[in-house]
Amino acid sequence: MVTDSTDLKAPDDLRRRRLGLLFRSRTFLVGAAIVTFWLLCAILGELITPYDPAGTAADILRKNLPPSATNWFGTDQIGRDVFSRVIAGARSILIIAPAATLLGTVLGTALGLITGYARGILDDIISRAIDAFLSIPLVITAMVALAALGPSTLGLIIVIGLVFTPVISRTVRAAVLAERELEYVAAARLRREASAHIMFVEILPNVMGPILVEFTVRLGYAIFTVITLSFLGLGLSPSTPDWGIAIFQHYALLNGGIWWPVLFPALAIASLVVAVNLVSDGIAAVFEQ
Amino acid sequence: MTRFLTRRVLLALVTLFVLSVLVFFGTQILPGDVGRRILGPFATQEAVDALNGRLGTDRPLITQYLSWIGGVVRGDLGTSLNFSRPVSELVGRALANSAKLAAVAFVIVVPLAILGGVIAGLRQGTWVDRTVSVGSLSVTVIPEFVSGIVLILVFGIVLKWLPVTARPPDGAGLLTQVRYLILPAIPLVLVLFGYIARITRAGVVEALNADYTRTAILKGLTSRKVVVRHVLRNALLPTIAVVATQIGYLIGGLVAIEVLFTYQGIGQLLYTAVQKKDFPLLQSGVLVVGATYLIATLLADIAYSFLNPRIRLGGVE
Amino acid sequence: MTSVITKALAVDDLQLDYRVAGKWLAAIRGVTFAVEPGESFGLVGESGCGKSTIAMAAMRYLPGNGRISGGSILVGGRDLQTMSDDDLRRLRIKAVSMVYQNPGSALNPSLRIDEQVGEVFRLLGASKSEARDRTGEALRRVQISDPVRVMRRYPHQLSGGMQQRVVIAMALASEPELLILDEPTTGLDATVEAEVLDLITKLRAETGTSVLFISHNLAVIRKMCDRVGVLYAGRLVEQGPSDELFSEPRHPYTVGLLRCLPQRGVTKDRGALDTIPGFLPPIGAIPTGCVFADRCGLVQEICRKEEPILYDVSPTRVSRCHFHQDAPNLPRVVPAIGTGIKADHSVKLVDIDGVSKTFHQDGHAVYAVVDVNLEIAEGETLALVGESGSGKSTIARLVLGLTAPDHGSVIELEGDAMAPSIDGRPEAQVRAVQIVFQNPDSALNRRHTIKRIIGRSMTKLLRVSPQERDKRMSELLTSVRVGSQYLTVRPRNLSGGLKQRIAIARAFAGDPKLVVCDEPTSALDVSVQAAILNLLARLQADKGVAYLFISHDLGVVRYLADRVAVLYLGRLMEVGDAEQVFGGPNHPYTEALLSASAEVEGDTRIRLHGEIPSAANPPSGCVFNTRCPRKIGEICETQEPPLIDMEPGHAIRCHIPIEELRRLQKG
Repeated sequence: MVTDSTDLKAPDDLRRRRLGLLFRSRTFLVGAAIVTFWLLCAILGELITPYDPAGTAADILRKNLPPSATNWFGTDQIGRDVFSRVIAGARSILIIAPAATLLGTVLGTALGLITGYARGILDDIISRAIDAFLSIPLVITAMVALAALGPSTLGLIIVIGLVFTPVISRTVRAAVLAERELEYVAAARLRREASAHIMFVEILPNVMGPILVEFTVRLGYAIFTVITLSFLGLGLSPSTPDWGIAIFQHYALLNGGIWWPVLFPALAIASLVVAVNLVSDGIAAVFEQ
Repeated sequence: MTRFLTRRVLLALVTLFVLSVLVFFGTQILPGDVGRRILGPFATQEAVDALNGRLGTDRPLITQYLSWIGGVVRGDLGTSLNFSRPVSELVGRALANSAKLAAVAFVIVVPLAILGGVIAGLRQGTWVDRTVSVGSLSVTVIPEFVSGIVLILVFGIVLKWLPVTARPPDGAGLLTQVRYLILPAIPLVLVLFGYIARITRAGVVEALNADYTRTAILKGLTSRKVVVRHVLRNALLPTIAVVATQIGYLIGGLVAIEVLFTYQGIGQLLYTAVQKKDFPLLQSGVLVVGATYLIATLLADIAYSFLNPRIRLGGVE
Repeated sequence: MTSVITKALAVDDLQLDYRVAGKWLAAIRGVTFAVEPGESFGLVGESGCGKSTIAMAAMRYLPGNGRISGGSILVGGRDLQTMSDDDLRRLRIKAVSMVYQNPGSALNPSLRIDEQVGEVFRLLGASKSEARDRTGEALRRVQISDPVRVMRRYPHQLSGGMQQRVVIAMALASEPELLILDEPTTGLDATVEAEVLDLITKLRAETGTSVLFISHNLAVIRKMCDRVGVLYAGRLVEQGPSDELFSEPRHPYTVGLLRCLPQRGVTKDRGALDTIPGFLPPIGAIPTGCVFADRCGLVQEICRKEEPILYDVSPTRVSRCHFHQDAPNLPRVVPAIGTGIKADHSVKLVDIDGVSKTFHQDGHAVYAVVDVNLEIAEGETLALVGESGSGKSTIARLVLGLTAPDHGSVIELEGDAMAPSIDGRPEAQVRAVQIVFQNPDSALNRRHTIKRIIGRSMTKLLRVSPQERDKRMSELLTSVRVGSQYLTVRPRNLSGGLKQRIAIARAFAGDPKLVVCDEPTSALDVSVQAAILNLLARLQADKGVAYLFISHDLGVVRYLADRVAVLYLGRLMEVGDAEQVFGGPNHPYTEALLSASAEVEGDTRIRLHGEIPSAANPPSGCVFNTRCPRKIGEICETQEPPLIDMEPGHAIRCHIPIEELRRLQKG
């Protein structure tokens, strides 16, 4: 058989090169280490806390104690160990935020693919609705929805997921609009592929990069939003060990000099959101190369 | 240009209409019978029905929507169930308060963030750039109430430099008012700084890498001229649009900050409306917030198109 | 007494590296050449050979990952590397200027033209009002007829040709000693290119500026330069006076490059094009012997062991080849045998009848295609030519069913009307019409393997079983000369030429009757282009497929086309057999296109001036009247000429009688 005397270009090592870049980025590694720490706390929870985070009947005698050797982060207004509750508090947020982001990403991807590929009147209508929807701050939308649903983990996941759907769909739509002009899409139309095939088999794999980046960015915002809502007393039942709820319940005591039940959860929140953001920034930088 | 403007304004009006529909029907998901809510659990069903009849809340939703939107167009936003006051009055006062807080935050953040972004962009890849980029990125994602708490602890309680509430004593002068607003404004500044600096930096980097910048350098212009005349002029355009879209975020961020600092702004008001299931206040309040955002982005788009000759003047003749 | 003439540019043993993934790789290795005062020196080579890198180095403008690791660059005797930043800035203001490949992006989008050009005069010390006056003068000098109006414009309001004039005006403002032109006409239409090249020639005669002209286009370099250097893989392989070098090349690479170009009088049936086998070595690869050894037909033992010096071929010429005397006898890679098949026009395949397409844009009607009638016979190649915006690609999309034509348009395949949209066409018609796009990078799904790309088309179009599909796929790959080892890879791991072969294979997967080829070789280097053209000719001969071939390159059209249709503003201006169209007499527009293609020289050259009118607001009468160099009078402005059969199979849309055209175009 006659073929061109060609050698293949460099082997298919894009993925490996990206991973290599990622693991050479110091900010990414710092972020990943912190996220891993909180993941371990979330998984192990009460197995590693010095006290039962849910508290015991005797706690009430030891309320509002400042940090000490026995209670590293002090005790809260009903005497529960703050350190144990900070460790255990990682669980609720690390279940709700990723689940909500995943839901939003799946729905947003589907919506973005449809509006970006179909265009025309359907796109116009949906785009106007999304514009209108996004003109209301997400926190307010979520606040109204949660007030209606009452406190529940599943409710929170669904509300945050749905609220993020239009945001993610916009990003996906923009990527799809660029992609659909490429000629491989015309080639697919020329063999009469169904629209669903073109959207999900031809275009989707090519927009996975932006979707992955969007997922990690949104994950940061999901944590931000969930925490803000629980600070407002919405979304989770008040007894859940949760950083936002802890602050909600104790910030009025700040003026009385009782800072520990508020400051430590606040620092936990800050460390987690910053870490998630460092991770997502690292991933985005690698994809932009 | 006229064409672009007309199109843009019409689009904003359509969006505004869709918004009103979304808000009206969206708030219907809040549970509770309006009459029952006002009269309490011990009132007779007859009294509740009578009140619902008087308020019009027993009519079909479409009729209710039309009468609500008709009122809004005439400037009547309804009456708050909770405060028994006209919504327009409540929202107006709260919005003015929030605007003061937002203004303090904007005045601080916009110049700072643009400066930070420009410096980072011009020093791309150096430690200065990395510090600004990673630093701004990190403070951006910390919820406002978290940084607010740290600020209250440090400046309000430990150092006692600044007041811990945002509410000045009655009859306070402008400077005192601003003093009270600084602490609550800083968390907003921190969050906004990241967004604006980031977009500015990206604009600067893109302009620096553009062919026209190469042309300017190879003409023999000094670096200062290249940056001021050629790079910044193109780099700062997208920033305008971003600054405006942040107004939407800002109102959302105000909820937590106003609650934390017990400040009577629009965020606090809507929070109360949700908790008390105050339908008229909630509907009209959210509509006003959305409209504010739409108007801000509309103005930004118009400003952008005036500054960008490619939109202002159309294509090849 | 020794007279030392200071050279405008002296590059001596230049070594330049790029840092890639942490390693310094040599991109330019020991390049030496000089541009004499008043001379025009050309650097030519395929993409990746390092020509633009040298241009940028001559302005001491390298990307952050580039460095000069050896040798020197002297501009007017001044050493660029030892110069202070201030001196460098002064040098850029006064002594060296540059014209760039892409004028649209080289101009600042948010500054008016007078601000951008005036800036240069301000740098030279002019006052504000002086700068304005001199800007007007400078624009007039580059033949901008209405400088005052243009000065107030922003770049996006000007056409590409106009933008390039502005850049040239800016570059010449300081009357530099050295003007560097980096692919100044690449991306412009042939007619505009011809105008810009004429302008450069004229300005050079006026100013006596020395020129370094960089281009991949051999014809342009030949026309514009006194002397030429041929670059290959960062090495200068041959250098000499341009006439001699092109008429009698003495390096196998130059010989090979010239043979890749379709020659006059050679058409697909009469001869295949020659190609250069293999690939450019990757950047940083330093072979021990000759850089070209792996691809050279004259290669001997010594070539792989010892790198040739720059042999003196004549007092004015050098060649880096041990066997430079034998270079003209370089054996052919592809036998010169053509397909030997002349298309027979008897069986009509496609009938395009009264087809129009109007787009609606911001409330304006844009007439992209207006009442076009064309026929394509089985097994023939119909070429569509015309400037950008002439409607070529729109016609292709209409035939393919990707865009629906205006109501009343009829496109028939083998006598059956085709639905306006692909979605309404029966399977047989979908199978029958396929396309090869210009850019294989966007035409192939970068996430799918080659097997999936071709296999899917076969499954969808032919509805064959997996076994049958695999059998056909391996036959198909053989026929496009691609080894089956590529089946499992993704497009990004293939070279540009291989990708285009895969795209061709996909077009042939469903045994089509008509394949639309939309500029299939214009993104490729000439050596790759030749191989693709050979492949297209061979496939056509073997499978009897017809081509609707879109190209701006008349050389390529002449080689491949059986018939040619010339379009202007969406209207058919001329159609005929290839010999008729290339032999004349022609429509004045065709005549201008032929004149613009650089291979045609002589006194009969005509040039088009002015801009292509907007398709939203076409001129009255004959749409070409605003630019027609042979306009005969009022009738051209008031009455649209009909498309008249001038001789059998050859029709022209012009008021001038054929005998008159023949007479005008003979002289």
